[in-house]
This record gives sequence, structure tokens and C-alpha cells, in this order.
Amino acid sequence: MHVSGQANSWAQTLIDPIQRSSWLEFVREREDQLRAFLQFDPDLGQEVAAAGSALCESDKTASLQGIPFAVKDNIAVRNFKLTCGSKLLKDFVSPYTATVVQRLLERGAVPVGKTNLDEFGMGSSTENSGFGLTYNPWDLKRVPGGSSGGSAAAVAAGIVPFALGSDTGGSVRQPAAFCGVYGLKPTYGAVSRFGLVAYASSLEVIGVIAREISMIRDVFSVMRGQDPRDHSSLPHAEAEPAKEGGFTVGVPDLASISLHEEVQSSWEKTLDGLKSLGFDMEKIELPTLDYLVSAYYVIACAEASANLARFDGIRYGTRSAGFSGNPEQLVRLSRSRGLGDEVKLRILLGTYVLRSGFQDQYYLRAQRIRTAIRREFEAAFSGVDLILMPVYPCGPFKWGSEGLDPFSQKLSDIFTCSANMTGLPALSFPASLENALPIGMQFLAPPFAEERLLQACERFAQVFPIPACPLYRPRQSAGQNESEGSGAHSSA
Amino acid sequence: MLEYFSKMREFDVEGLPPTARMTQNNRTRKDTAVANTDTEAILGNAPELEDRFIVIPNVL
Repeated sequence: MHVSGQANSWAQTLIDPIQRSSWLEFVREREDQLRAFLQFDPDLGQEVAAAGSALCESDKTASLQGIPFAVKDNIAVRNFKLTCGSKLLKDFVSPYTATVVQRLLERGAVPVGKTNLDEFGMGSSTENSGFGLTYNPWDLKRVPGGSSGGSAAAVAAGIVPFALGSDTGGSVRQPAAFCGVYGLKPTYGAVSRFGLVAYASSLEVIGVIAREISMIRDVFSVMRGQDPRDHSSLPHAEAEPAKEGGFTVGVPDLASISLHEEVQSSWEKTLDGLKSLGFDMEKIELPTLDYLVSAYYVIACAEASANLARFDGIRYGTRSAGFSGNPEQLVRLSRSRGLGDEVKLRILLGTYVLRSGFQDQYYLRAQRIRTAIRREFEAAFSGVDLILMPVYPCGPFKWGSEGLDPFSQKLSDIFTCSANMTGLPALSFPASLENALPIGMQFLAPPFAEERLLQACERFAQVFPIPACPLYRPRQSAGQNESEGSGAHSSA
Repeated sequence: MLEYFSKMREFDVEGLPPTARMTQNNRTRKDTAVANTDTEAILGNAPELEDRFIVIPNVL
């Protein structure tokens, strides 16, 4: 049984009274500043973990005994609320637990809270939450990214060693990059979606955010695998053996996309860093990248309009008070009052592109472009082991009117949504610090080659180890003065 | 956004089949009843209950 280094320092946190009270004190302090959690309840988490764990002999190789973790609030954990960041679900208590969470419980992990997100996963900043902002632990005036902003902030500050998120168009990788931590989006089908509140069913995957690659590896190995409750889940291929020497990395031509200078600087440092490690860089062409975002949003909005139709205030959810007469009015009022503007926008767009007579023009066309993109990436991978891309055209931006407007945020999904459109696995990693803010880059790999992503990032950490934000505090094991975490690192 | 979508018209989709689903498998499972979750927990989320019925305004 392999237990990662970080797991050791967390194993007693919830059980040892001194560690527990010092950790709770720390969380209170951080939460005042960050607001990463919508619901923080370790006692409830321990109850749920006890009920959910079972002594089972299995062929899983990781043990997560006692490890506290956070769960994005669109993933179900029984008896915890499942708000999805929406006023419409503000009092909804989940009657069941997602498969991936259940698997983690069976290995002894403890869910300590539900994290803030853009409503229903729609957004890139966590500004679209129905319950307020989460703040970036690197700079409280900036966003933590989205939609899994709460999860990324909690991990970056050291509140939990790992957190779950969901990635529909970059929502695990982009907040991980904005918060200077690792974010894995697995291959579509590698991880069960049972228990993930659906936004865009053909695009989304549950992912992991952590400060250590070994933790990502352990958590992923527990979560993955076919689930009879999710018919889009697939058996995982055997892990590849460790590769001798360097990987060949495909580098797309980014001339048509303008990068902000901090990302451009980080991109160049990343290329240099990889070359110094013995990676072979090879130019690749991805001409369809220009059409990616429009095709992505057509598909995402269309699927969202169908998936969110269930939220009508009838069987559950916040029913709008003051309806008079008929169910139609009840539904209309509940949705008008309960759903945020961004969600309404995407539902309306999705409904529009699916109108009969328009489907050829929008939805079908987008699906054809999707085929072209998948073929293009498949062809690219015949010559390279990995593809390197930035995560976002800019670094973590300020929240509010000084930041990035919603339309620009959508256009900026260009790097991340390729992995969702193709179903490929991708891992974002901290690449450098620019002006004391983290910039992340990402690797993409062929289907089920997550191990390749992990190995590449482990190697890259030799030139740029994971940085620690000013608010980060590593967990101290009992009796130790020296902590296991790393100190702050400036850019290489 | 709609204007932005029209950018897709530039792309030549001739001969490209639409990607209708991401995984090509079609599996079946046994149609057996499994104790899934308890009714109390589900009904606990209903906005308005009368006995074990969810109340809504008159449809007719």
C-alpha cells in the first residue's frame, strides 16, 4: 500500500485533539478571508465517512485513511447540501452520495465541506455564484478562477490536501492555474459522473485539485473505473510504464491568439524548462482551434438547456412564494427568481440553437466541428507523447468591473475546452510566478494516459517546484517543528 | 454570443459526421431492484407536503 508523503501529515488531523483544534482555528481564520466553502462541517463529514466506509479488500493501491477533503458543491455527498451555487437549491440536502466520493470514503477519506462555485458550473471566476465570491489566496483582490474556485482556493491555502471539482470547459484546470496548484481533468469516461449535477453531459468530468502530484495520483486511482450507474464510464486502461528519457511534446502555434505578457513570459520559461529537462519540443498544427470556442459553447449551452430543465421548484428546490393559480406560473417564477443571469443566458442560448430548423446551422454544425477537432488531436498524438498549451490567456484577474467581462471570459476558454471537446485527459501545473502571481500551463495526453501527465509534471517540478501562496500554511505532524510543506518560491 | 456563433459558418463541415456521443459502448445491466436511498430524505426536500404528496397549484 502506498501512502503519499502529504497523506502522512494529514492522517491524524481530524482525530488528534491538538491537531484538530489547531486546524479548525486555521480554517476559521482563512475562511474569513477566502470564503472558499459554502458549507464547512467536519463533524458531519466524519459521520458520513463512518457510514460510508467499509472494510474492503480491493486491488486499489492507495490508502487515504483520515484525509480530509473538500467537494465542489455540484457533486453529491449525502446529508450535505447540494446547492450548485444556486439560490434555487439553497436548502437542498443531498439524499445520496456520488460514486467517486463513495469510493474515496471506502478508502478512509473524510469530506469536510462543500466548496463555492460558479452557479451550476457556468463561469471562469466563481463570480457567478449565487452566494458571493471566493477570493484568491495569492491576492484577495483577484478571483480564484472558476468554476471550481472554492476547491482551488481551499487547496492553495492548505485547508485540505485535495479537493474535487468538475471540468466542463476548464473548470478544474483554470482555477488550479489561478491558485498555483495542480488540477487534473481525467479522460471522459475514466471517472463516473453519477452524483455530478449535470450541466453539459458530453463535456464534463470530475477532476482533482491538489498541491502534490502523488496526491493527485492516489486520489485518481481510487476514483477511476467503470460504474454501472454511469453508462458513459469506461474501464481504465493499464497504466503505462515510466518512460526513460524525456517525452516528445507537441507545441501548437499560438500566433493567432494574443497572450497577456505574464502568460507569454511564463510560456517561454516553460518551453526553456522542458528543454533543459531533455523533453523534445515539436511544432504541431491545430488549425481548428479558431472555431473551438463557438462550437464548444453551442454544445455546452444546448446540453445545459436540457439538463437544467428539471429545476422547476416543483419537487424540490426553492419554490417562489406568492405564486397564484397555476403550475406554469410557479415554474416561471421559481426559475426567474432562483437562477442567476449567466445561467439564464446559457439556457436561452441553448434553447435557441436547438429550435427545430436551426439545428443544422448551430448544434449539428458544432458537432461536426467537434469531429474535426477530435481527428486533429488524434493525428497530432501520432507524432508526440504530450501536447503543451497555456491554460488561460491571462493570469488571475481582479474581480468585479476591473476584471474580465463575461464575454471575454468565454473567449478565453480556448485552451481548456479542447480537452473537453475531445475527451482527452489534461493536467494543469504551476509553471512560474509573474509579478508574484501564479501562472499555470497544461499538458494534454491521449485517452487514459493520465500517468504520462503525472510523470511529466513530476519532472517539471524539478525546475519549478510548487509555489506556496502567502496564506498557505503546511500541516504539521504532531511533535514536529519542521513542516512537510515547501516554502514560498519565486519564479525560476 | 449568437453573432459569435455565426463564426462557425466559415468552417467547411463537408463530409464530417457529427459527434453525437463521446463513448461508443452500449451496455445493459440487470433490471433488479436495489435499495438506493430513503424516501424520507427525498421528500425532505419537497417545498410543500401533504401526507406524502407534494402539493402544487391546480393544473386544471
